[in-house]
Amino acid sequence: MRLAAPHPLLLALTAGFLNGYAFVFGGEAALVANVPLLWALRAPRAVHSAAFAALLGGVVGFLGGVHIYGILDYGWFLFWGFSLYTASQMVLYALLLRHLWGRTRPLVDVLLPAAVWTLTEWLRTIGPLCMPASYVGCIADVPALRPLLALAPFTGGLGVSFVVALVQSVLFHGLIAGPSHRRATLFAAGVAGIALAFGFIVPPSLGDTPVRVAGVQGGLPNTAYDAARADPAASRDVVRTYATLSEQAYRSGAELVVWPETAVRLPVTEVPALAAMLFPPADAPGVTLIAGLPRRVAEGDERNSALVIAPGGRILDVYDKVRLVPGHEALYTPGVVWRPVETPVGRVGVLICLESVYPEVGRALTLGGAELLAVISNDAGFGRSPIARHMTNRAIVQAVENGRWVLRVGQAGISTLIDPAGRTASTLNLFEHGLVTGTARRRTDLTPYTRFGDWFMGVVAVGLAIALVSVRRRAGRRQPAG
Amino acid sequence: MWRPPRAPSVLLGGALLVWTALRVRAADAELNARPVVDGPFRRWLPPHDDGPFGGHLIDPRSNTLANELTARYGASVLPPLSPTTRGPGAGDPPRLIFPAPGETHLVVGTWGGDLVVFTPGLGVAVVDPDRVPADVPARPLDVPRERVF
Repeated sequence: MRLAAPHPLLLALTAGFLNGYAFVFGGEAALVANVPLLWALRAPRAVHSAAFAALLGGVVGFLGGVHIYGILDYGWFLFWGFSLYTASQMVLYALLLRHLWGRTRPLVDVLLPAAVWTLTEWLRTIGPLCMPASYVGCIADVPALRPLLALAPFTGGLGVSFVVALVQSVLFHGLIAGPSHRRATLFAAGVAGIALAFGFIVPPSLGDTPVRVAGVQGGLPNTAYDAARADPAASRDVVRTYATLSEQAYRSGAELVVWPETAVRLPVTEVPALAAMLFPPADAPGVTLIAGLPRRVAEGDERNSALVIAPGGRILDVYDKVRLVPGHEALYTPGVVWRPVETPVGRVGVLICLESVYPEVGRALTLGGAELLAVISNDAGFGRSPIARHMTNRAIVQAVENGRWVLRVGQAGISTLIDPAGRTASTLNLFEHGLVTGTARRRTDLTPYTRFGDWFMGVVAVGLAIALVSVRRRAGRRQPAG
Repeated sequence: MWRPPRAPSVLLGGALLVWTALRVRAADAELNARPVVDGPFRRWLPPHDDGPFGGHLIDPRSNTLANELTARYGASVLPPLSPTTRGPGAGDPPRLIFPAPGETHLVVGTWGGDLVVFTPGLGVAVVDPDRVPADVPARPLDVPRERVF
């Protein structure tokens, strides 16, 4: 028996609300987020009606979830543009499902929502203005769902998102759609269960050579840096904060100390007094600093960089941020290539701020030989909004996809040490100051995802193409008879 | 099998309205929040637009003038606080200005086209120089221009 559905617009809005909620507050909501939208799409209606419902659900839901209100600081245009961009994912999802759903075998019907959602997530990772957001990012910090992350080294985050979307489909077909898809639903539930069990059975390698690491979190608000631009006394306060915390880090026994992005916005490398205060002293051998600093290469050529500093202040290597925040970082010149930096404790892949949300960056750095990853960020501009939490979740995804320890260091927070299983330790929250310390382990082997990239998307695309051809053939056979 | 309530649209609509209102309220509070951050050495208060002469207070703090002068230039620069020259443009910063009886500001320097001014008990503000009366009594301090290091 098919149940009477609430109004489709309300169902779409509910789906938007649940997606927004999952992104911001509770990742477990992702398991049910699209169930209302599936319910709305199941009812027969015109294509434009389905698209409108999904658009409205997307816009209002994601706006209502307000998961992007940190972006308000960057202007209303970006806020609305990003909201519409985000909502377009739900529109595409709705239109593709509307076209393919209910026209082939029951098993295909149950798998389609997962496949289509995976396609839409992948589309968000390509193009110059792309902005990935995914279910794997939502659930990355939910302990009960962490075993699902064990798929990521094989399939990438897309495989995890596929399973989450599959659970939505199972719930819809099992609880709402009626008995016609019972066997297919049981099969899909079994697949999801196996994916979860896989995480318990196959723990990832945690690496070999230990490296003692320390991340320095100043915890300063952006206004401290604003004041520092105008007032030397405020600038001294910022420097003093990082000098003191760094000194603690150098004396903590850490072999690798990491600063956040643009931690000190002064020409530290050009002023010996500053370098002496901030960089590892010559009498602290065995310590290497990766310092997030702005770097002037030439007149009019400034980079957002990570510098590798040896004791005594010698610069060993430099990485310039390649993927800059559009508009906001227009004053910087982008770097040329993603490559790990050479340090005495091994090759470290540095992802600066927004780079950590793009799967291809961590993968490129790991393919380039990175044995550890460091995500350095500022995040003070987002205030106490949940964006920093989601950015941290993206660092967790980078860790599990590439099988690397990740030290995430945010200027305002969140700073934490993440192992290749996605577990975090020694966490400092927003606007706290201090050190994140621990022992990471270097790894040199490559995960299947790192080696082969989005092969899982290829499988999904082939499956969708087959479904599309099948639907067209069936439609063609029906036409002459009609 | 689970069945939805009789009037799911009403229930859903009401719940969504309530939720949206709560989220908008929370978002508004968050956007307009002026968080106080405790650093390792000092407390960073949120900036606001109630600085001296209508300026933007970029670094609110309740320091005294004596402490500020000591912290910035060393104890030896504490002068007898009587004006010797006039006008904020009467010399290079730093200098003290006395726009009203019992009111003293320390002009720390300039930033862009603005003056950077410390007011005892209030903090550091950036001020449009046109807002500062041109004929206020002032006293240059015999100290070098302040540097970060």
